[in-house]
Amino acid sequence: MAAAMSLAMTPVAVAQSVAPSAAAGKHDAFDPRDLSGQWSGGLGGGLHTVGKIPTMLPDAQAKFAANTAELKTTGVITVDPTFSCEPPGVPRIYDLGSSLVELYQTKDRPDRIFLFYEVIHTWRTIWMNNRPMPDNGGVPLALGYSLGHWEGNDLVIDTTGFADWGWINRAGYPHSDALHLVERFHRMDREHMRLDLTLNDPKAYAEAWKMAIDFVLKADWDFAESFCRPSESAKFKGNGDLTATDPNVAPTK
Amino acid sequence: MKIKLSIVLLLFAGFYVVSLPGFAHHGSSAYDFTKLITAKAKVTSLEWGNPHCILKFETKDETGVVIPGSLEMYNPLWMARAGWSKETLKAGDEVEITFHPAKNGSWNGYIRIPECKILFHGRSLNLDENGSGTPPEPK
Repeated sequence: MAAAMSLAMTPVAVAQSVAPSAAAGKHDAFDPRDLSGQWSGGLGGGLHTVGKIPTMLPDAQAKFAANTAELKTTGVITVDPTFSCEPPGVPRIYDLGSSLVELYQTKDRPDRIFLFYEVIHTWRTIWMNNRPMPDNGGVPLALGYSLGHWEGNDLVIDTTGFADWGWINRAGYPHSDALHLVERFHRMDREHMRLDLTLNDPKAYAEAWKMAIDFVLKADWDFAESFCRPSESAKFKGNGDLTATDPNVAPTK
Repeated sequence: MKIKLSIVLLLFAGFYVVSLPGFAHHGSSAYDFTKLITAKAKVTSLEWGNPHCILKFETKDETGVVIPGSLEMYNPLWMARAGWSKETLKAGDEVEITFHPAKNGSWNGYIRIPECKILFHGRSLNLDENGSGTPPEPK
C-alpha cells in the first residue's frame, strides 16, 4: 500500500489546466474544476451551521445528553472522542484544529480523488468511476464510503456507511449509521472555495442539517505532519482544568 | 476587527478584567469568553504539543502570594505558522498576558485572537497563523 501511495501521490490538478501559484491574485484566471492545492478553513477548521440545527430525534437526544452531561456540571467536555485520538469521522474532521485540506487526483488513478486532511494526518478516497455504493457487510466506518461526481463545476461527494458512534461536531451532536452526507466543493475564484454540506440522518434528526466551510487557498504553505498522539493527549488532559474543546457550534451564518 | 473593551472591575494591582459585550458565542465552554484578564506573569514552561500548546506561568496576587496558572493556546501547527517555536518563550521570561479566564475561577485561561495578547519585551507576539501582527522576536 505504501509503495502504491508513493507512486500515486504526484500532485496534479483535478482538472489539468491552470496551475496554482503563490503569486497569483484572486482575480486571476482559474479553472473552476481545478480544486488542487492546500485549502484552509481557518480557526477551528471552519465548519459552521447554515440556518438552524435540526430537531433531534429521541435516540440522538439521549446520545447528545450523554456527550454533553459534563457541560451541566463542570462546563467542559472531556469525553470528546478526539481527545483520545479516536477517528473524528466526517464532518467532524472539518471541525478539528485549524489545518489544511488538500485534493489530489492522479494521472494514473483517474478513477479516484484523494482528499487529504492535515489534522490527524489522514485521507479519504473519493471514487469517481460511477461504481455503486458497496455492501461491505455493515462494517462501521469512521469516514464512510465516498462516491464522487461532477455537477457542472462542482465536485459532489456522497458518503454513507458510517459507524453509529461518530460526532458531527465538537459540540457533541451525534449521528447514526443512517447518515448520508453530501459534500459540494465549489471553487469561487482563484483563492476561495466553498464547501456546502448536507446531512440527512433520518434516525437522528427530523430535518436535513446544512453546514458549510469557506476555504482560502494557501498556495505557499507546506502540508505538515500533525498526528494525534495518545500520550500527548493524555498529558494534555492531565493539565488540570484545561480542555481542548470549545463545545459550541461555530456561529451560524 | 477592533473590539471596544470596557474595564468593569479592577481586581488588584496587575490584574484587571474587562467585559466583551457582543462577543459571547462561546458562552458555554469552560472559559468565559465574555471576560478578559490581563496579568503580568513569569513563564515557567511552554509545552509544545497537541492538541494545544500550553503556556504555564506564575503570577502574584496583591499580597505577593505566587499563583500558578496556564494558558491554552493554539495547536503547534498554528503556532508555528504564526512564527512561534518551542523556544519562543522559556522559563523566567516576563510577559504580560491577556486571556479569557476559566469559569471555575482557576488561573487556567484561553488565548484567542484578536482580543488576547502576549506582550514580551513590550511587543505583542503574533498569534495569527496568517501572519498579521508582530512576529515573535528571533532567538
